[in-house]
Amino acid sequence: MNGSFDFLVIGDDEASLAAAGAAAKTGARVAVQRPFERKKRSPAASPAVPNFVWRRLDLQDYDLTLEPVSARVTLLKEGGAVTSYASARETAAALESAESEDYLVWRDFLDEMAALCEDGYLTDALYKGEAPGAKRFAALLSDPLLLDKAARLFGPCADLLDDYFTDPRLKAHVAAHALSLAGAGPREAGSASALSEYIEADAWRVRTPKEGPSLRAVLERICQDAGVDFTAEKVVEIEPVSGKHLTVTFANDASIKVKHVFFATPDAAAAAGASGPGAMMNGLGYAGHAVFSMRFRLAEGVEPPGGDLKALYEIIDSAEDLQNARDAAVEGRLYEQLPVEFEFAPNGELIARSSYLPAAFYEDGEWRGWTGQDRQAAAAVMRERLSSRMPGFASYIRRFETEVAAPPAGPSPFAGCNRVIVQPRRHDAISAAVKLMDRVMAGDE
Amino acid sequence: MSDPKNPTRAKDGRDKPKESAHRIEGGIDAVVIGAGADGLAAAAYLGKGGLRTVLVGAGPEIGGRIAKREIASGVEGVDGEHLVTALDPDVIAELDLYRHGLEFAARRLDTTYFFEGGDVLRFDGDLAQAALLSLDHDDDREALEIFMSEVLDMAALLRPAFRPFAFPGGGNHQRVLEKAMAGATPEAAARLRRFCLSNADDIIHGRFGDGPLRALLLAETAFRSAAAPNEPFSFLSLLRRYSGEAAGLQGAAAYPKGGAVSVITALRRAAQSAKVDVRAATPVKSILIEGDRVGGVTLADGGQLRAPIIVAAIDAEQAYLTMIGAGMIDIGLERILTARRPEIASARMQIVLKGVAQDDATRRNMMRRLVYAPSPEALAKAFNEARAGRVPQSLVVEAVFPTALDEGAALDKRQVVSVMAHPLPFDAEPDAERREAIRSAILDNIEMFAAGFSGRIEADDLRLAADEAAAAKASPAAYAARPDILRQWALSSAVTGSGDITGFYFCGPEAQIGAGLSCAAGRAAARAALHAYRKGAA
Amino acid sequence: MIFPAEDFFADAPRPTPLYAAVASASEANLWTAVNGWTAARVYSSVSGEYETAKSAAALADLGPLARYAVRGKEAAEFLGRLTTAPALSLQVGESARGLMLNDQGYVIDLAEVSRLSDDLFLLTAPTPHARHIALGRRGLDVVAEDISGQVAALGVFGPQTAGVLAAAGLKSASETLAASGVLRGVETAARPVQFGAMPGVELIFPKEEALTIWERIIRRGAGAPIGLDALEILRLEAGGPRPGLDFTPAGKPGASPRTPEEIGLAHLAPLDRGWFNGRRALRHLAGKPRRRLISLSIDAEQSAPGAAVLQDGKPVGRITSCAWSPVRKRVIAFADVDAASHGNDYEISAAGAPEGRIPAKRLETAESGLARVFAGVQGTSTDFRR
Repeated sequence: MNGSFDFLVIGDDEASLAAAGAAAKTGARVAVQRPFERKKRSPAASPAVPNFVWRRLDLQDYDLTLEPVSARVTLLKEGGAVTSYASARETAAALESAESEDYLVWRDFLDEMAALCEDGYLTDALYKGEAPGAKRFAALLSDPLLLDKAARLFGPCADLLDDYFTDPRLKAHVAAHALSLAGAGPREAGSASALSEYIEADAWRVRTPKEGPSLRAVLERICQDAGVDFTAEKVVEIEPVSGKHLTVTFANDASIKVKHVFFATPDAAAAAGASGPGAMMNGLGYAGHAVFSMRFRLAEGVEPPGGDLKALYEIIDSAEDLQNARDAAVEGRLYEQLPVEFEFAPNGELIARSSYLPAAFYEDGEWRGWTGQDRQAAAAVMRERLSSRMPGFASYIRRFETEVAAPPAGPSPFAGCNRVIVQPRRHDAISAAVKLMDRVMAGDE
Repeated sequence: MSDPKNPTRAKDGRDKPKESAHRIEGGIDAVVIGAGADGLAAAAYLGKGGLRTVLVGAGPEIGGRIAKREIASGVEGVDGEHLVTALDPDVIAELDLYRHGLEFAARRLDTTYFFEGGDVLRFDGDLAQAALLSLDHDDDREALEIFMSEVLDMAALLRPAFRPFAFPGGGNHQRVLEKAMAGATPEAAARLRRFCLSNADDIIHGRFGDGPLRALLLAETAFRSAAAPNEPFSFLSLLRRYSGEAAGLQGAAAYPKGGAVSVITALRRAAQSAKVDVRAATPVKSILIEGDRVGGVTLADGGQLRAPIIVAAIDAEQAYLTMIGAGMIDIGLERILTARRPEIASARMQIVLKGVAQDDATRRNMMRRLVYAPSPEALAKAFNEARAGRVPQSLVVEAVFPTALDEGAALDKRQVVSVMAHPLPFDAEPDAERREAIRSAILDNIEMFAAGFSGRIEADDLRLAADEAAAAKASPAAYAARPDILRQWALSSAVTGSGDITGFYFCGPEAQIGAGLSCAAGRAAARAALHAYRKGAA
Repeated sequence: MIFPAEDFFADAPRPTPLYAAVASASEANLWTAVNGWTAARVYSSVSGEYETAKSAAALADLGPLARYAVRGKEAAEFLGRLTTAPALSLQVGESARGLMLNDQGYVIDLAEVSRLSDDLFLLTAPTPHARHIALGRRGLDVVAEDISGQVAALGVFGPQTAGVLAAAGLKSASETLAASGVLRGVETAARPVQFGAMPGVELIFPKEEALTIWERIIRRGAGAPIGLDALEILRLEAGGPRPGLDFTPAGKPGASPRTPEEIGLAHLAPLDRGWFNGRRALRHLAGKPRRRLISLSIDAEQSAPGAAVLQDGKPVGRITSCAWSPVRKRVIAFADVDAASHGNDYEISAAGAPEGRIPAKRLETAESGLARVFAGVQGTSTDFRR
């Protein structure tokens, strides 16, 4: 691969590919670097494909079936599961039958969260990672109403939920599903923005059935049809030339000139070594944590409580768990009551994840990276957590593998490059990635 | 009875006969509720503007939380603040505080930072100098110089934004802000925009790696703020910290002769020379709202003061929910006031020491501001602990020696060290056990940089947010540490909006952005009131 | 009480307490959803139902509307704060209309408040407002319980309303005074309501008794059911704007907020009486409307929401809702127009009409009459009949 490109997209998750394809379809020259080794495996549920992306990519031509996740379920320590659905009415009805008073305000909550992020310049600040210009900044500070909105949108999630709901179980449920993606704590400033993000229709995750093509495969085909170049070579060097271009050199000595390097998720950035201390993210990022995931091949007969294999599950003991886990991650410790998200992939595998692990461990006054022992310890905690909600879970495990996405400790080849765009971990990652790329392109003109 | 033309008679509220019961007093242009620094400043401005002004304070003393008190037998201390870092220079000039007795004993305190490993760094009082006595790498010195000049520039740009302002009238404020920001170079503006959302640790770590400079700057960022330096928007806390001006120097710290209470004394003199009728021990029961404007106040003893302007320099909960009443304010304002949930506070401790060493190094340090900066890891953990309601092991500690700074105030072979420690859990009603835990945590941290310190303690006096609130007869939440700057802006603009009640102005603690003795809120409220008064008169 | 806009995309609506009764009366079997509850569009024929309301007594299932029982020492203060209705000056048995405003003085919803006893009020609103109520109640000694779905509510409109009340055993109730009674062991209450500016009575009874009471009224031949479509005509004739259709309630996503004045209901939020939420902000907005919601009668057989409204050849707004008026033999409509438009003459763009336009005239309704009288009293000018 040689030549000059507008974007080098690093990573081949759904959001990266959708952004690459959408940009290529509008005439940008795009290259995608995908991981060197890629295992063929049943994908986890991905963020929904928003209508505007569907139209941009003409997805109707690709024989694609998307099944929304059936429900969001939280398995608390006591008192059974709390469930919410894509339909506000269904959720309210479920809350009513669970005798939660808050069923009355559920729809109000959704409406207000949606209205909170309606104001362009609050969301711009959130998505672009930049506060507005002088005029708008002055206008923001002179408008009590907008400031109040901003304070709520960028305040702690727990304050907002406390102000709304009385049922601690519902609060724990909402916080768990909204925050676990980015590994944020409910008492942290900025965590409330996840609420307005997670209630969006584009944040409701979808799966492709076992038979049909996966969303990722379809997006890859679209990229190829749109003339996107693919490479699997590792990036070894990246250097700014003039103010407007970067030269990217790959392991096979090929080198290309690009205007921007684009990461649709911090995981991709971490894998490529582009995150870590000092790396700037676009918007509110929660640095200082790693994502640990496990895949289990299981014997027949494992069922989640309630038996719904198509739902998305969170395991937490209580809402405080989230903050405690976040605190532990910041302090460089492994937290025993780790919040765990899990789901069943279309091929029956169980995929479990947690974003509440430390990026590095702090021991005896020193920071150190992940070791094999840490992986084992994290795996043990995660298995323990799964067993606590699915009795006898351990005995069903046939095979499992683990994966850590942690920012690397060493120097990054991307350090000091300001044309590197990293999108924070978002619930509506596809929608956000395409929008972010559009904005970058608009800025180039 | 009090005569507004003769304020000296009503100087001491305690002497006043209690015959005002059920009396309705008229002929007053403005009533200021609350005798703290902002209340005094507001009253002085109103009086200077020619309004017949009555200042009523609930407690027996004038000054609110900042007051002189005997902390041990024969030793007086000053509650509230021990340094001046953010006193509005316009207030000093416009109220002529120097003429009214304000004097700085030390205008430009150098700071000595102590670190966990025993390292020590000295910062010049003038931050722009960034002159360090000891720094291993010249690279760091250069990086620091660049960083400090950038930070001071950004802080200066944002200075108008850190000033509270009274709504309605935001339009004017908007123009001031626009003008200030438009003057910035494109690079500075772009940098500011990029840093506004950021957490301080990311930026500082990116510049200084893991060295003591990181610990130092994080400690300054975190000090007296409820926003941990690894949380979004925390970089703004640092900018706020360095936007203040003390004795004409940006970001500096100054010590007024006689302590912070002398600012109160000067303000009080300024108010009295402006013919303000100052009445202590005159608690207000309610604020009268007639139609959509204020009519006056009802006093606890049943009397009434009628006035078309009311300035509330008390905490927002009292002013809006108690005195005006929940049923009379807009639902949104009430939500903002009731949704607050303070978690973190600072603590103040004054310690009487005996047998302090008289060597040069010790004496020099006693003329400085001393700051203990725990490691970034320990600081992050401290915030987590405090937020979870536990007393953290490591604290940022700021210490000054008022007795050394006040020439001639040194006690016979004894010294008073005044300490402010942060972050600690906030309690509305701390029990004895919690007090003891906080006390020993603070002493342990001082011991980290002044070994053998505990052996010299003759007496100590711990003052928590709840104690300050009790002294000022306020609700404790108003004296907890403030959250990130974005939320402070929101709260400040909501409370200074006065619920759109004509003639009502607010300059309580919630109006202020950032910690420290400032008076900017009192000034803004009084100026807005005067503006409206003159417009109405014209 | 006015129904809010239907929720077209709602999944299966819940049956109202009266559903079993009204379903048996429905010949057309044409249903829709309002606030997630079932609502009949037509029972037999729209014109027939309209006639019933004009000449006899029409019965409307008001179950889909939001209903709250408000109890407590400060119930009147709370309602006075939450709504612009003069709750504090209501005598027991009286009802009053009002608006719910947000802090900025923009309309969230319509509301109706009835005082049933000293410290018990009934609050009805077109849509539920659990959050707003929860916030408004903070700091006040009051409990607001959502009773929608627990009680059956039957609206009665028309000249023979008294007959229906007699059938329900509540002779003493009227369009101006609430009453409650027990008829053969069933507790019933009647309270005056206003359908827009059209007076009527609402009967409330435990949902377990819904069928019994309904049967009793129908068997006496005292009234006939009326569906949403016929009610829509009555509403447009009376001039009551419909939330979600003629204006979007403030606070909802995508709302462009409207002041009471802008939707022609300034008389429901008088600035010179008691305090209510948003009044101080409204003071700044009063007299400066940007838009105006007006009633029009259009000289045509049909028109459609969304059609452009023109004046002097220039577009000034659009139709927000319309219906055929059997009395006027014209289409009557609500139009959201620029506040700068004036006079009584407008035009509606329509395909097929000469020059693509149909003449339309401003229409005086019961509601706009009240607004006009109010504006006159307030001394501000109105361009009515200019």
